Amino acid sequence: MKTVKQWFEEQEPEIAALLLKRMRNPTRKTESLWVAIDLGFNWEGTPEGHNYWSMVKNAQILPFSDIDKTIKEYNFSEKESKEAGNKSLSFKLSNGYKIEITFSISPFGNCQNFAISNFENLLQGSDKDIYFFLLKTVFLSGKRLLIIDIKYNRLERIKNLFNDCIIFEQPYESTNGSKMIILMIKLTTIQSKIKQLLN
Amino acid sequence: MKVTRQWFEEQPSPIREILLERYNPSFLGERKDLWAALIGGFDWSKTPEGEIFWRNIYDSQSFNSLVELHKTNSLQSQPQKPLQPTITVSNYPDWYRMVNFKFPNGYSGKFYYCVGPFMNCQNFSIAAFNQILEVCNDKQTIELINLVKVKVEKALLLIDINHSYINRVDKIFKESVMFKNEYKSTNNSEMCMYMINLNNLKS
Repeated sequence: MKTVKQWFEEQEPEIAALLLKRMRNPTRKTESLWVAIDLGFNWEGTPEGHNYWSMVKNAQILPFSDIDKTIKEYNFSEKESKEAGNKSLSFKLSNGYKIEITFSISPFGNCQNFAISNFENLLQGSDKDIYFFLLKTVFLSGKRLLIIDIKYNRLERIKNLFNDCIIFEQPYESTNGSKMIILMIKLTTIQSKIKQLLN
Repeated sequence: MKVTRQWFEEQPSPIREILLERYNPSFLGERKDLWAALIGGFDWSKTPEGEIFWRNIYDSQSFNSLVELHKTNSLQSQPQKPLQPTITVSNYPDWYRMVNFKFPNGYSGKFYYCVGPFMNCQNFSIAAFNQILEVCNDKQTIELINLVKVKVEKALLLIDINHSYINRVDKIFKESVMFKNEYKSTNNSEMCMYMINLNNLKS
């Protein structure tokens, strides 16, 4: 257990400065940074707003300035469905091609996982495009377990992208004879992958 | 301690059937005895008998009045009930569909499925599959899934359930299971994902 102030002070300088500026409850002891963010200040009263801090807490990702800046540059355009529906994000890949990707927030009614519907379209992008898209979806869904269903011959690219984050990979032959594979990917380290890429 | 449903299932007929018909699976949690299960098992005010009737049963800790009421109702002729469950499917946002179902014995509930979680023309998913398992027995689960298959027009079903339901799912779907993958979730829950080929599912 640490105090809210201790948790905030441990973060990277820019993030720490922001959190300490927002802090209203410095001495409260909490078990994690995410609880400290929850209890350390009133989200409503911040310039970032309630939704921003809610996404940060659910996704358990604190975007440092470079990432935040790049996410903005991608200019993701979001189309939101009603509760329990899907979301679509359209954006421009690094090669200039514009795509729209849909993800299902709760196809299994599980509060930890979500699915990206047409993941193969996303594979047209660069590694950076894919990582930033996934970071955005983690923010939007508040979930960090991604499930995808792709053609088996795309496995190599997926392994290059997520080699140490694959929880399971399950090849199968579909009812129309296609060779497919379902993968579950843990996105808890997506931010560190981005950091490595940017460095 | 047992869950509400277990307490109700242990009762003699017709008390068991009536309680299970009234039982609301969303009222979760274990109960120390039958009477605690009666309080926590369903909303008394939303039953045909009404809140006062159940309050009297609870106070007297006896189901005699319920049995009497059932006898009276049974004397009235009832229409022939169908052997299969009935389902109604309604559109939900985008690729989601809400299914309301009711079995002749009164078991009823609802769930939703996702027509295209991966935009794959061969598979679909049912959300919160454990809720079906809580309400239906093995045979009813198969009957229900077969009806859903006809509506979806896809044969590969994906479900994601807690580890505690694995034995039950294995028993129900047997050789129809194409694969199952056990995994530990990001909140440390022990989970399991199944793909089931409904073309191989026998009633």
